[in-house]
Amino acid sequence: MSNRDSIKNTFLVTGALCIICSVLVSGAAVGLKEKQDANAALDLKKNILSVSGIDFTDGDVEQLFTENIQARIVELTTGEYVNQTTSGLNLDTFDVKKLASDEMTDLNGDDPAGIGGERENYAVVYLFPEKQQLILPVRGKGLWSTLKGFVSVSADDFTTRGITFYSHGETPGLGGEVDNPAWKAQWSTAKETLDANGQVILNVTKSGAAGPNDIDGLAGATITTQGVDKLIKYWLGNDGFGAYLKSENKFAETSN
Amino acid sequence: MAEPKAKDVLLDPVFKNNPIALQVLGICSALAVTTKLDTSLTMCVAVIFVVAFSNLAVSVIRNYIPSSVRIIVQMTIIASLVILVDQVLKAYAFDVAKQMSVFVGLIITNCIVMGRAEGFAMKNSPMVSFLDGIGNGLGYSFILLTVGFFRELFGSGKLFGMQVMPDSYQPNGLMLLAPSAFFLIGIIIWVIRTFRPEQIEEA
Repeated sequence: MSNRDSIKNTFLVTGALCIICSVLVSGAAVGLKEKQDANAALDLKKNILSVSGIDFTDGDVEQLFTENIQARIVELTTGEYVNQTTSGLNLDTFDVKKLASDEMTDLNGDDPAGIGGERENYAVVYLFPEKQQLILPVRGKGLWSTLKGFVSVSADDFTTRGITFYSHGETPGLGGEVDNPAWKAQWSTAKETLDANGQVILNVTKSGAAGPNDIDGLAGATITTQGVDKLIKYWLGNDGFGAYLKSENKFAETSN
Repeated sequence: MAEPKAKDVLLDPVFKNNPIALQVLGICSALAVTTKLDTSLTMCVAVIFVVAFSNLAVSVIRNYIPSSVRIIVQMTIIASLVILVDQVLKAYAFDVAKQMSVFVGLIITNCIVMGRAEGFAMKNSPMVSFLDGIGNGLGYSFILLTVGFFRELFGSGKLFGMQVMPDSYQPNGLMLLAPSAFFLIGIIIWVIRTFRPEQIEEA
């Protein structure tokens, strides 16, 4: 038995175990990646449909998405549509992570929503022409994680139509309640987001939703609530989609 | 030490020596994933897989594991298996995996898995350990599915997402909150101990 507890044997067993386990884990991760990515893409479409208020429980997600939703690349500073970014990414290849460094704006420490110190100059927005809705990607820091999601607003008066977060790591039961349909339902009741000057007036508060521009926050999740408040203020404001919201002809057929 | 019988190690943990009801292990996940039957069922399959194979793997190498690092070795095996399950769920059952969020990963810290690896697989042959893992997984599943059944039935009036209660039934929101799982597990323990008085502990 002394041989089993020797230093040599300890290193041998733990070393061999580490190699076997890492092969197993990385094999699974690589082998299943394609399938997981397809699931994630489908999940994104489901989120966009749900934030638009389209029921997809009985329908084909892909088909409903193609029929109802259009995607556009927006240049955030000008608020205009572009066909591709300066580095040549188009709608099929667009990914925030692939943007070149000169396609990101350094926020110089002024980062209220906590999006990582720099903001992309381009974003993919989705349009739901039938209901005249704009579906804007938003993200920002909560308590543990970056919340990534979509907010849907009316193209006429920019009142809210819905919100959804497709990725976050907030505490289940507390901050994780951003996924609670009852909480999300508040967003579909046309809350006012911008005043006449284009300033964001929507508040996510913990003191209850008193006004037409208030959303009741999540009980027991102060930091997550503040995170949602800040990310909405940021992305709907002038540093985010402000210029885009003011632009004309958002539903024009071509984007040139 | 006599080798335990295959039938005993497989079936004993379901009623006679249930890991949740008698040993009161693995309670945390029993609260978290039992609001619906489909998440409960997925959790059960995942736990059965992990306990069975971690027991098997630990038992196969039990004579080579240096005792000074045995817990770490067990932990590594369990963690690898859990990651494997998590990846497979994300690929083939994405919606359920998303609802279960962190709780699949938390199987790593499920006391049942660790307890069986250390308490049983370190001393017994691979085949018996494997069966013991399945048995304990079944015992865990029995409680989880019972709790999930009542929580989904009374909490949302559904079973596996299908409406079974009449429309006039007003769902009981308490059943969807974690405390209701405590009540249900308490009731299950009470019922089991009524029929098996030998499980009652000395006061």
